[in-house]
Amino acid sequence: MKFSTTPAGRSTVMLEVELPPERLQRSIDESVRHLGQRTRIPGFRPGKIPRPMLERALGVRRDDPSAPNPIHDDAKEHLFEASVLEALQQADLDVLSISQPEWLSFVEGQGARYRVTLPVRPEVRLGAYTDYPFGIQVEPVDDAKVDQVIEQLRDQQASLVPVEGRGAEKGDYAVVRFEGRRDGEPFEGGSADRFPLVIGAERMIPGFEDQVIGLEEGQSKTFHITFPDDYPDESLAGRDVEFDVTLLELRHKQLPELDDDLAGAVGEYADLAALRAEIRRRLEVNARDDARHAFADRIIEFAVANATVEIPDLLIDREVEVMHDELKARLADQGIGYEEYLRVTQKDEAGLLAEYREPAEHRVKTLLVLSEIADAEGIEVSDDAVEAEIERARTRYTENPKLVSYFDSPRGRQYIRSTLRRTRTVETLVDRWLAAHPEVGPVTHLEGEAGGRTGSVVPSDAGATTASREPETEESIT
Amino acid sequence: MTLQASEVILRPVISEKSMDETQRSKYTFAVHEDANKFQIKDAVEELFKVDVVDVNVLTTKAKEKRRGMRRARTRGFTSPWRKAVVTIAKGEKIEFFEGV
Repeated sequence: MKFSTTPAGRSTVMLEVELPPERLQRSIDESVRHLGQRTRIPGFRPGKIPRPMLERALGVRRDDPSAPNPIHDDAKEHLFEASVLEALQQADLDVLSISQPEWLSFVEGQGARYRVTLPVRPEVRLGAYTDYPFGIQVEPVDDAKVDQVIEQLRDQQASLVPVEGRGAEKGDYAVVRFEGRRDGEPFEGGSADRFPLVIGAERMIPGFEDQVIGLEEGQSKTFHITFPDDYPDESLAGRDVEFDVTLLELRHKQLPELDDDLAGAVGEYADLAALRAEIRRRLEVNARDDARHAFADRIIEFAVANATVEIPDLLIDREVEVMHDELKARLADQGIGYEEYLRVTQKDEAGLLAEYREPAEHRVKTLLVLSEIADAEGIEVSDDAVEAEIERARTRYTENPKLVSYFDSPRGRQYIRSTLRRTRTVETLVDRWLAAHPEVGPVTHLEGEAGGRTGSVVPSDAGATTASREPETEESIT
Repeated sequence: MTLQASEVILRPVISEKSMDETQRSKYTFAVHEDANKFQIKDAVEELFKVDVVDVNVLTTKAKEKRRGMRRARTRGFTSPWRKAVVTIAKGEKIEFFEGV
């Protein structure tokens, strides 16, 4: 076997392999044997068919080399599979995937030659990825922000107290009984015995809630109202309907006083000052954490923009596929059919995939660049760290055993390792910058807390929501 | 009754056994049911331009074939046919079998 390799641009290599006649013959004989076992011809036991008979049964035409030849096809397939791996090993090429070959010649007794273009691991030329022309920006926490949270808390702690001595107003919580009549006849869905209503929330057809304003508890009212023209039920759209409405209950929201009692009601806080201090602390932690993430994202953008990679189309195709699958999974989560989505967004699949190409290329490039930086910085992830991450996944995704077992598999481990490695790389870059700029103050990464980001600033909410980053993509390239 | 050579020899029999026997100069044909050894010898010599050394003939009998279950049960027979195994002179060949 002889072979030669030539670079073919965009991180691909053209491999040309020449096979000697003996090897070709061996392979063809093997294919004849193999196909003879599977072909049934009356009068012959399987595997006992002479080659000329077999060829005739398979429709091989000896006089016409361009005619389909299953024996040659089979032999080609096996020859290619075996020889291409051999060649790649000898040539020491790091190929990402193997594509279909182009056969230049294939003649029994003379030998065969083929050519195949293979995508190789792209070479990443890193540009600057330190010395950023920007810094970390921590949003300062002022009293207004603390007040905002306090107001939210008050709203949560508010109680609904009965209204006395006045009619309904916007913002009140009412319970009403109503009956609607169209042409003097009650219609379906047009009446309710106890219907909760937030006046001014515009949940009812326009005008209905306005009519309730001014009613006192126990009072009734009869009025006409016209359904909007675009009302979904056609028998009602644009129609004039008469309603009898009785206001059964009327309450309004009363916010608790802004005092030490509120602090006690929200959690274990001695007084308002302690609550404010805690809110401020959490807001500051969040602001630092957000700033760190934003800074990390900018660093990634910066490093990616400065690096050059020639990404083979194959990698982009794969990433597009991944993104396409992600979209489908997202739609399935929301209970939207894929066909329906295409119809509503007025796209076809080809257009959708074409749209994905650019972001896909960017994603692939990001992964490659981060891996390359990790190499350059000598960042390693220990087995213990991987195990710890699997353990964390086990407790976090108890309801999804399939995902957990994936993480536990060698492939999953590899995936976790490369993801961790990229995360660490970015963290290392951030920490290094922070060490060089002590004036910024400590912006530590909250590694102990799940997901890194603390979600809620409202202290009563114990379970912080975790904004986990989406699993990124194909692990095979990292 | 006079049979033409092409009427005597109906078709070659191509099977694992017959293909194997060609290596011992024995060629198998399906022949007319009334043909005798002399007619077969003459016909093969005429059609394939070879020297026939020996002719063996036999009639494969009709076999009963049944099919269907219970009420749909039917019974039939395969057609009987006459087979001739012709031995030709050493060194000669009948090309008809070669190409296939």
